[in-house]
Amino acid sequence: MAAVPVSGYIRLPMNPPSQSRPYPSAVDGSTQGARAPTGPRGPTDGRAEGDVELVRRMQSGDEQALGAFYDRWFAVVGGVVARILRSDGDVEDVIEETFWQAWRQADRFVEGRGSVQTWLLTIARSRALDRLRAAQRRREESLDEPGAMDAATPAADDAPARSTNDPSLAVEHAERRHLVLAALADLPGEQRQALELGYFGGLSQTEIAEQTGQPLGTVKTRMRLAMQKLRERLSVLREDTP
Amino acid sequence: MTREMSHDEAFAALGALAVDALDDEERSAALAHVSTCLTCRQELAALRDAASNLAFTAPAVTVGADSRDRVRAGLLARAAADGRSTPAPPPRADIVPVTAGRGRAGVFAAAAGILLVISLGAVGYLLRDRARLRDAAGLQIAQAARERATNDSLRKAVLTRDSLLAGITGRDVALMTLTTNGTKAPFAYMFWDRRANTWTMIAHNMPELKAGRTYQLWLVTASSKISAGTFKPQNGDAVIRATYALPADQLKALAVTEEPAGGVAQPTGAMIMAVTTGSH
Repeated sequence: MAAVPVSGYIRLPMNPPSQSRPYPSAVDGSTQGARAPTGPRGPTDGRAEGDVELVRRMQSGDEQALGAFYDRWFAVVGGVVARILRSDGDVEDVIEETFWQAWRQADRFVEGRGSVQTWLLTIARSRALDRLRAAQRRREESLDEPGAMDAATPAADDAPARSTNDPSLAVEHAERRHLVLAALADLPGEQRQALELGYFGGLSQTEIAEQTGQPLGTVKTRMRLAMQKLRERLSVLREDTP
Repeated sequence: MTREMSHDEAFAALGALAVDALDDEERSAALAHVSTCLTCRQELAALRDAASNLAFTAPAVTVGADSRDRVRAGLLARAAADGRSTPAPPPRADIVPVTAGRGRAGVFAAAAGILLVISLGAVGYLLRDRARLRDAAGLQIAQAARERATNDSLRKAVLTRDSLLAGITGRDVALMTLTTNGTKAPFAYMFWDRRANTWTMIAHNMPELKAGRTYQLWLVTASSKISAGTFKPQNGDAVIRATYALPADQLKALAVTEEPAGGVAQPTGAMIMAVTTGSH
């Protein structure tokens, strides 16, 4: 039995969080008690407060806070970086650079002007897009290695095997993911495409128009509607920072 | 020169601005308006928060636990050696004012000046030495962090094994075998610990999945099919764990289906294997 690796990624079931029926929770490699769906976390949950407190401690140079912050956010940062880079090559580097920048620039986070989540994930996305564009430039400059990036494979698994040591955090990430996926699923395909090309592809609206063959005005409308709907659907997740 | 944007134009562009999808000129114009408009600033903040949630939809990070711990150790070591507050540069001896005097007073002043220069030189040396010590300490901290990460990793592995064993050897564990027909057919053992509400399934011979597909495990009752999660085997094998409280008399069957990546709310794909509760 010991030879069998624990290999299956488990994700939360697909039952919408709004259903009242309890559902199984499963976290790869650990056993948790059954949880009823708690729904989206509101503005006053301890999570946002915990993030802000950690950033405060990072501002004062507490590297243990950096470790705790990393443990909380590694999985999400890793996910978005891997999705943007579409290749495993630089993922580890970019994750490290993201948290390093967060550490060095912790004092730039101003409580009340936005959430820690938005601040950190903006850094992660920017670092990943920088790396992606640099790789694309290298590819364009290198006539000897055409298609090198095309050969890169996306992250292998579709499931959020969020590797975090905190089971409640893993469940919360899964709930949040579930809600966001549901919101995306409600968007018309072309609006979802515009949004994903912008967010994960780092493309401007003009570039999206070129890539999809759609008029620029159409792309702008799709992007605007998609963001408005996303904002409405996810308003319950918004941390009400004072 | 940046074109001026009206409020309505800027407001309409905020969604694209939130995901940084505006062209440079539009971006500058929109930001210029936002800096003067509270409504737009608040709307942009809300849109950026909404956009940041898209990160949660990204696929699982493929960086393994070892890499995760290595990056963590490296980060902490860098932070420890960082010295957030930049130390003041050592004072330069040649700008220390030494007042020249005459007679005995001048001699004392000169002697004091020499002592001061020597002292400052020593301070400079000590400061440089401190930097060397700090670097050495950083390396030691990194080494300790790596060792701690290894210990944590081993402890987690042991806990996982213990948990797995508990889930299949408990007093109240029911064993069910999921099967199908055919040679090299997939099969699985499901250990249901009815006291701890844990479900541990060990599957073998699972066919390789095509891109964009996943396996999904279902707990079937008379009135519903409850998803117990999706999984992807490695080399045909998988160990799947879930926690769900289900009264013993409600389980009618277990089933594994093949579904689109991400799973589905209700089974739609081909049944890979199943068992009814009559057989356990």
